Amino acid sequence: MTESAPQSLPPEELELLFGLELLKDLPKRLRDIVARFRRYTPGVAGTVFVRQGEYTEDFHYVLSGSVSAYRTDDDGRTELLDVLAPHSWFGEVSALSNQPSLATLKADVPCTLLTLDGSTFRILYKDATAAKFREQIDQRYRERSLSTHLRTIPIFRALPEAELARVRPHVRFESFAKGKVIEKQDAPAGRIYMVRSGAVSCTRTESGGRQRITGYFMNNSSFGERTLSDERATWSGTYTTLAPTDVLVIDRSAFASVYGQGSGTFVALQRAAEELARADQAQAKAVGEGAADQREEERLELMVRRQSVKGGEALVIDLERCVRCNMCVETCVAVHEDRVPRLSKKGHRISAELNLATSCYNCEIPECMMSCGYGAIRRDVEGVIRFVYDNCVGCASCVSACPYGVIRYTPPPGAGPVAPLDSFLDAIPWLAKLFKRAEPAAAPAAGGPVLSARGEKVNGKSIKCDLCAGLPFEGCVYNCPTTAITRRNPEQLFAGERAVTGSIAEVVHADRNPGGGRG
Amino acid sequence: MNLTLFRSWYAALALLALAAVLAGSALGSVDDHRWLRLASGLAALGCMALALAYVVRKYMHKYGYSPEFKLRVPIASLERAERRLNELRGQVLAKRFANAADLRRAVDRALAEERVERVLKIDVKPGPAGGPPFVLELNKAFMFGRTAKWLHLHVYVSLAFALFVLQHAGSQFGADLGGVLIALSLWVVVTGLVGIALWTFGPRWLSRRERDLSIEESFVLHEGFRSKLAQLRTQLASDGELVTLLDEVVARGPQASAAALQAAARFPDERRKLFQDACVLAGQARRVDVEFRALWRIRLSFMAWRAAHIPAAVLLLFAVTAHLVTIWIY
Ligand code: SF4
Ligand code: SF4
Ligand code: SF4
Repeated sequence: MTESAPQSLPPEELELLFGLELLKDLPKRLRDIVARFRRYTPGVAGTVFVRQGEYTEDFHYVLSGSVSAYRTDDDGRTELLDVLAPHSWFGEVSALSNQPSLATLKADVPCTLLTLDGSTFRILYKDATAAKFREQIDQRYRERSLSTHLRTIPIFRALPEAELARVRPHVRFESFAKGKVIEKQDAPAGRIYMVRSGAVSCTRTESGGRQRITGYFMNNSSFGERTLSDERATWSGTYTTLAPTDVLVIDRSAFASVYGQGSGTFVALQRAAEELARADQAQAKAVGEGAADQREEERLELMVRRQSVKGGEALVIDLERCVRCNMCVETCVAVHEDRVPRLSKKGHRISAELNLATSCYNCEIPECMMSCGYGAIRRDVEGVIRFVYDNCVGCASCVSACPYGVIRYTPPPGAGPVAPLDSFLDAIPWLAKLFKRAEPAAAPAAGGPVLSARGEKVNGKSIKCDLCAGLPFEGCVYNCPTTAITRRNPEQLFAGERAVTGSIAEVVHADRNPGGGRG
Repeated sequence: MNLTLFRSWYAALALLALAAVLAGSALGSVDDHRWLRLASGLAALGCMALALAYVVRKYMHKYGYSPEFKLRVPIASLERAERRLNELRGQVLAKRFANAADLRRAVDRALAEERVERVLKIDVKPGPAGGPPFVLELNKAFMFGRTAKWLHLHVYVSLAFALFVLQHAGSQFGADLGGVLIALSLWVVVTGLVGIALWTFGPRWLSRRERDLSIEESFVLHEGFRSKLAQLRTQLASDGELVTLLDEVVARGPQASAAALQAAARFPDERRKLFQDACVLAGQARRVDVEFRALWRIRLSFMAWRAAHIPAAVLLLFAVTAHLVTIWIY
């Protein structure tokens, strides 16, 4: 993105944009990016910009008008959370966490928003030269959304708002790259972590040297609460990031200094932590012995090691049914104008019977999207990861970022060899006219470079399974003559593979804290 | 093992055909009752058309000419519809819908207005205890049924076809065209039965054998080793003796390699090293080759089955057409 030519905007617009408190300290390089990728979103009174529960990753800055944030709880009660006046913003949490929106944002009066897509926002937020930008975003987050997020940590649930507010200034925001060790086993455990985005695994090394994965943490799950009830507690395992990860951190000492050791609030927190530890132990004991537990462990191991925890749904081939007719791949070719299949049957064999085809999982933690700096990968409201073909410049960052290797890199339009005849119909023009699909996108004029919708030079295009977008079926699944190929989520997948009695959901995706095994 | 075929409701069609044939036989012979011959002939023809429909559908889908491909809607419309559905979910949560019928109407209106009703299929279901009163469940719309279902139909109507053909033939079993028709029909049905066995047990057979390498992997490796070996052979070409030794290693395997390596010892280091690499590669290629051949034999059985079934089915089609034409003419 940095290579693109600076965008020339009218001076008034530049003045408006970079006169904004949030953007005014950005260095020239980042200003160019903003100038190039900014959009304006108008709305009349009642326009819904973001709906609670929908995936969104756009960041919006209110330029004029006002926007209200509402949240409807499970009982159908709607509560007004906030009214955002000009110079407020929203969408930063979803842009950073890849999680569905916690509130509905609706225009109160006609208003105009400055909109940055998730990838542009993440570039600004993570850039070391834009510290002021990040500071303001974090500060606002601390004031507005932090309490809501802290309440997802079980020990804070019963704490009165005023008490929770006292600890807010002591919460640190930290980011880790993929594969980074956050805490080491047996080191003193003096802090509590909450995973805002990304994923963390906990691996315990046992006396014989055997390493055992005891849990994983993502989507607002937390670990380390034990430190509150036991000052000398140590980490029960080594905590490592499975993807680029953002966490909230609160030191034990912060609780002690804010509430005072022995104060009512501190004791209440300690009790909550002890209760949590007891519940974890009980859960561990319930599944603690016997073959079933061993299988749960193996399953957890498989899911974390194969990074399935990050995935959404996988395309799975049952080898006991697959007659290797290749119809799935051929149908995928038939569905796409560029005639490139989005799946490969080869994939990973995860058991004697099951093969994970190489095809997009629509991950919970889409590393491809997080790595794209061109707004060419986005998540739709239903959570499907979509590639915006026209914005893709072929930088291939997503290809290397995808942990499952499902993205294919193709030459830019018009650069590849001419596609061979599809069938005899192509040779008979009037027949082809009668039956053929739409022609592939037009190639660029000879000699000129291919440009993306945003004006950058295109070196290639990344493509992946789009779930047969726009069609009423997934071609591969629909057209398999043996029903061997199906889409399954990791739980179904591993449950099927191991035929475990009892539910993996209880162990791996426990509502409160997926993975258990807290420090 | 794939047992889905044996659990298919289409089996009822074959049973119905059997019942019809038995009932027909109870009434008399086709030689005595012209209507019975006509009815069984028409029934056989209908079954054949249905069996053929599977083939037509499969290939239309494979090459992208299936009418379902023309149902595609723009992604933007889909997303707008999904947003509207979420809005309705919000209204359900806020208890704005008193009954499922009202919600159904609102859903249908949203889908129709966004023109995605042919692609999105939404079921309105009662919500879980303690949750919203209704839930909107999104399903993919399988308009014409999955190909697997058509295959089940293909199998069972083909069995029914065989029964009707036998009844239709009556005592004219040995007549010229009739004989050919019956022989072909039986051949197609018997090979079809073999196909069912392959379909049921073949995948397990193949995947047990594929433990280490899949057939695709072994093929890729096999080809890769072959081309690398050919490259090394070209590099060694200036030393005719080394090439001969290498050919022997390739042909005879490990028995020849020890002697060949010894014989190559007197060559300069660089050439000897190249030769050693080639021998290692030849050993690996041989192992992959064994694997590939074993898997290929299984694949061949699938191919042999296709070769036995499909051309006969095409011939049968021609023979039936000829039969119909002759009836028409005479
Ligand atoms: S279409 Fe089904 S049976 Fe054929 S290769 Fe694909 S998964 Fe296997
Ligand atoms: S769902 Fe569609 S795009 Fe994805 S692999 Fe299957 S056929 Fe290809
Ligand atoms: S392309 Fe890869 S990283 Fe992106 S959503 Fe699909 S599987 Fe996940």
